[in-house]
Amino acid sequence: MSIAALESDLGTLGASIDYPTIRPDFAVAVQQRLQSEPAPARSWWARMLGRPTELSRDRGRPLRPPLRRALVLAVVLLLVLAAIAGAIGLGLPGIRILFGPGTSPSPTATQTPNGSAVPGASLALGASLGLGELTPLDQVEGQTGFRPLLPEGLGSPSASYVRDKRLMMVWPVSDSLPEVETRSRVGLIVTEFRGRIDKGYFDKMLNAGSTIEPVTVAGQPGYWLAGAPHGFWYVDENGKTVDETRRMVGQALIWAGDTLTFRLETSLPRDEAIRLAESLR
Amino acid sequence: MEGRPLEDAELIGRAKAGDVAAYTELVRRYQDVAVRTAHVIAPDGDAEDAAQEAFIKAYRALPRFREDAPFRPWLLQIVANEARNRRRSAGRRTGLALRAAEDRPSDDAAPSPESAVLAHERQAALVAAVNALRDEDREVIGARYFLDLSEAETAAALGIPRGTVKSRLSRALDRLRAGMAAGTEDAALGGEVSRG
Repeated sequence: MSIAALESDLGTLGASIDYPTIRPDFAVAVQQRLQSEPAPARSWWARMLGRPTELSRDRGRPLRPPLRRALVLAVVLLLVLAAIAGAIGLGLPGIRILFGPGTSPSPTATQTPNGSAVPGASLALGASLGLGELTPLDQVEGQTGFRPLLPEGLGSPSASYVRDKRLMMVWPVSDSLPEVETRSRVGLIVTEFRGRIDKGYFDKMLNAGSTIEPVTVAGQPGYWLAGAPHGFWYVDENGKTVDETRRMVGQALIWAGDTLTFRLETSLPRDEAIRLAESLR
Repeated sequence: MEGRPLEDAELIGRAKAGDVAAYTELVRRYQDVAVRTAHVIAPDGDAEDAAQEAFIKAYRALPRFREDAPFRPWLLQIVANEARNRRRSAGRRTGLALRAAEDRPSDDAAPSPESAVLAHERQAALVAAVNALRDEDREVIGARYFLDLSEAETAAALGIPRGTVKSRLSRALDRLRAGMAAGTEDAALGGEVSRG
């Protein structure tokens, strides 16, 4: 038998092999398995870097890999520089790496200069936390450019603050809202801004006592931060990294909405915090 | 949604961004070739299970996949690895089998029952000879002739250089021909055709 005849026979044989029959729900079974696990890799920070991808994909042109690679390199370089600077006690403008509070007290602004920890009764709730400019709720949209979303059933916040187009709203301690920070009388802080949380930074700044757990809030990706207090960074709508090193936060739920990013500081358990977050309207 | 089916690259882009539905569409596109590949690599394993596992692993590996590269050979390499791992842990070997005659598509030529029986016997001898090959020979034969992969796709799926595909295929065909000749002699002597 010639090789050519053998090849021809093999080709015919291919159609006669008894392959297993694929069950009709094969693809659905794969889908269900994937849906029960977190998304693969493209976390927020990857998507932030991958923004050119979406733009270029619309045009069907793969022009962005070098651009994205350059961005990733730049971020890595900045992180390395910032880490080195942090280790030798320097700070870089815009970015600082916190290696966690360790044994040092958390640098919150709850203490007044004379050492009394309770803010004066004449001050608005949370005024001592350094959250920003006290701004009446009905004037917030004019400052930030977006309509504030409020959690259901809690009424209006006691006070709202704006800094750099970032809104922070404060609710008092109540039966349903345990105190966020000792002697602060604050039961809940909700932060809203146009920007993205960069998980890369979180990974850097979390110390051994902090935990970060991916969660889903109303179908959107989010993180639940717990354990030891953590610092907080975000990338604003102009792509600028904004750090907020004045306050260390204990428990927080951070998630991305369609246009806004949210943070909820609370002493509630994780699932209750997620329920509260999902009630934002 | 859209008037034309999405290109693989578009689906992959969406899947990379966490769109499981887009990935499921890719699964539908390639489930047949994936299960067949798993079966050719490891005929005695659960090919469907291996293929499913491979699709899950491919999803997790998507961030490392270049969107402008062809998806099929990349996927099949993951399938082949998954099937091989299962093959190693399986003890007893069966092999590829022919479908029962009544399940097979009838030729336009409508052969006589006698010639159909003869053709079937010839195919049975060939499949037995393929099963008797070493794993690496059977893989390359299976990829090229049963799965109909190109030489480049075969190289990618089996994780070997193209030159190796050529040389391995040529050796495998020689061995197969020798095996067929021996099988024919066996048959002529009244022996069993199957050497599996």
